Amino acid sequence: MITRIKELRARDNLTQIDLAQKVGVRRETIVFLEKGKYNPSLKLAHDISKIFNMKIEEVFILE
Amino acid sequence: MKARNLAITKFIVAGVLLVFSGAFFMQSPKPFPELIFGIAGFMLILAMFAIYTGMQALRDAKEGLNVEDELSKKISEKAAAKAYKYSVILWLVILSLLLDQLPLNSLETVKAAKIVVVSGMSAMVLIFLFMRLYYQKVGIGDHEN
Repeated sequence: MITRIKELRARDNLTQIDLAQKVGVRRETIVFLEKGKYNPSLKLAHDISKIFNMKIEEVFILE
Repeated sequence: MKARNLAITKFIVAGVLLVFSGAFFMQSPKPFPELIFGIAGFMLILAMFAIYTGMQALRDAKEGLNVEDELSKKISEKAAAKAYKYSVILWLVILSLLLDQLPLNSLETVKAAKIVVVSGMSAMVLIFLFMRLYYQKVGIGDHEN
């Protein structure tokens, strides 16, 4: 799975820490998500998509 | 606040471990038996791990982040599962290799059995700590989710 989190963070001027604070996770979790080394739970994927005002499938793309 | 308390608890645990290992060294007969170095080394590793995780918790507290989230819970579960698997193998190897080696004299047998049990259990803890650090470093990929 690939994610557009890094690109969307840059668009919205959010740091990894900002995003982690908004969705209530550790910074490492955002790092692993951006690297594609972790598949988030549906709730976390939903929360992250909501921050960027996008649909889940637009942020997390299954290859 | 919760993160800061957790960090302080971890630093206290590390301090207690260091004090205990120091006291253990002080009251051990000299010259030190080889086993003492193993026990002290094990306690130092535990203290270092407590300090490392305590510093991580303190950093998270300063940044206003959660100390524990879904990934850290998954990492702990995954590390525990792997550590259990490898511990079973470890005990099978220990028992199959050492069972015939233990002396028949009852006092010697008890002493040797104590050393084997303590070493095996210490190895189980070390395997868990190693697996946890490993998954913290590499993450949990698609195939392992």
